[in-house]
Amino acid sequence: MVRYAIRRLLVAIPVLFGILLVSFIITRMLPGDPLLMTMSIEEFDASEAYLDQRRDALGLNDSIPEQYVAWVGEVAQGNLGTSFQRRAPVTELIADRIGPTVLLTATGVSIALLIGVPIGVFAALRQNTWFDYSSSAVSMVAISIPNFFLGLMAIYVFSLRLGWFPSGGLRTLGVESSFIDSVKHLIMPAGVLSAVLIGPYVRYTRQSMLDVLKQDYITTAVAKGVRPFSIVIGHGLRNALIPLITVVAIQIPALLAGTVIIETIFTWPGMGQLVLEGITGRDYPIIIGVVMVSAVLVLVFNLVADMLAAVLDPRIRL
Amino acid sequence: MSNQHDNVIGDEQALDGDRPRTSVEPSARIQSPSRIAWRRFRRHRLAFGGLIFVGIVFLIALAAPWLAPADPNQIDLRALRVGPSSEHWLGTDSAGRDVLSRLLYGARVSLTVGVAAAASAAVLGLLLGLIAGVLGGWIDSIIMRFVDVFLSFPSLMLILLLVAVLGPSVMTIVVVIALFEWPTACRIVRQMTLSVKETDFVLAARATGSGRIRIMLKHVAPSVIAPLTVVGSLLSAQAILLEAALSFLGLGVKQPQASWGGMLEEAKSLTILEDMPWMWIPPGLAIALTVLAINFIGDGLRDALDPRQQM
Repeated sequence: MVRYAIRRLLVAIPVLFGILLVSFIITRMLPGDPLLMTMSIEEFDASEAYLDQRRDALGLNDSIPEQYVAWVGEVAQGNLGTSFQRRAPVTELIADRIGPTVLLTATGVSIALLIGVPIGVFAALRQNTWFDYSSSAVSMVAISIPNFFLGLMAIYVFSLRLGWFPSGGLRTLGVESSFIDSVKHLIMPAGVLSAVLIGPYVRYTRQSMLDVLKQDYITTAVAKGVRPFSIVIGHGLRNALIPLITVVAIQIPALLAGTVIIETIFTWPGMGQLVLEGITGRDYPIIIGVVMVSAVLVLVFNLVADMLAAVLDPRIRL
Repeated sequence: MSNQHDNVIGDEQALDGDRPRTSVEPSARIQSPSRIAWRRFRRHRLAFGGLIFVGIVFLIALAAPWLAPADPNQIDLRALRVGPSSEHWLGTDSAGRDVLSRLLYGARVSLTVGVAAAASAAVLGLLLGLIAGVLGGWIDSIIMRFVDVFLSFPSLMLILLLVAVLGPSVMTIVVVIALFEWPTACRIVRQMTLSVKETDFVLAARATGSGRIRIMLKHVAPSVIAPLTVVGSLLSAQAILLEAALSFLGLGVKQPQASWGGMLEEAKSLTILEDMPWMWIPPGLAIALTVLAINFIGDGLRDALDPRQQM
């Protein structure tokens, strides 16, 4: 399996640089001059020679292939370049932002799993009952509401009307950070994120449970007189979770990159906001840096998903 | 409510097919598959209701100039952010524009994107999926590698980037969304193609000397269309959500053109969010209901077209 992993990673490297080349070219096609975005008001009267010098310093005068090669050289040294606007290393900026995004995504996925899996199991056990139908109708509604509208409604109801939770941010400013304060800030964004995920999780779990419950080994267990509870959990759920785990693992990078909207609504200082700032501010190094990090995450998590499946299900050989 | 559930129960049982249907409809004449599908679809009340709802939204989009009480882009500086009244049923926004009129016109953007993006994605997916499935070999491998890359990559980020490069317009959004949605359709078409390829009627066609292209167009394509419509409806729901999200982030259609997502952009300000719900709740509900209706249609189509289901 280790050999398989190494081979997969080696194959992935050219794909990775292909993706990066494409995003690199797209980034340089962004309309607007990144230099103008970084200048202070006094600098607007500066001479053309001065501007040219500034461009030179940022490496913007080189051709795109030259810039790409220079950038790959930096990456080889464990560096992702320097942000035009914040004048800080991109690695540092991403390191600051990745924590909150991971926290948000992990909490959202966990909430969705904790709610979605039991509902899915129950819906499968009570197939074609009112519970089954209402759970699928509710999940249909949940995936149809745009997450930004759901987020806005949550802020409207729980922050502005009821005052239960803060409307945004990572923690209350000016107050010593406490665990409870952080949890209060986390609940709404993570809840909104999980709302979109619960529906699909219910569906996967239900379908996969139904498939598993038809298997011969379930009949065997019933015939042996195993208690129904351990049949459902030990024989049924254990096997039904394997496809779900793979799906979740594959989805995670997309979720990490897809929290842009939730981060915007809840002013959550994560990677999504960073990339949005990068795009509007034409901050090329930030955009490419975040694209690179998510591309690596995609490749790694795809591999992790395959390996997890093999570990959990000995019938799968890598 | 209970009535609705009963109905759904009937349909689901038939779908799952693991218990025999007890009621067989007396049929005096032979019914065509499309007729059967339509009858099944109509029995799925949520789906039928969804179809009617989307139909109404379509009519609203077409008739917006006659229905709208005011010009959606007419700025009225004397009536900024006023609440609902007899003059402005849903109030006005921060530029004094009539919210109801913008809501009606906004249906145009959502439906255009929903239909155009999903249709282009479905057509592209159909062509490439058929080619990959029928021809196989290295062409199949190349197409499927592209599908894998597109499906595994965090698309929202690249969509944001592409939209920023191409500039905000309905056309851009349609193209970009279609670009990221075709792989889903392609994968399903290819899968269906591979299973249809093994059927006896394709074997018979090959035996009587039909070429690959003829088999592809005459025999495989028609069998693939039905599942593709299901995928298409789901893609269209996704496209509408994506457009709304992009417009909400300020990267969607160009202002002042009215779009539902763009109308919600105003609610980023806490004052508007708290005190002027008439500006953001109606467009939010419009998006949610339209998407829900389309998702129900997709669900109904899946039930109605499922070939495993016996009548």
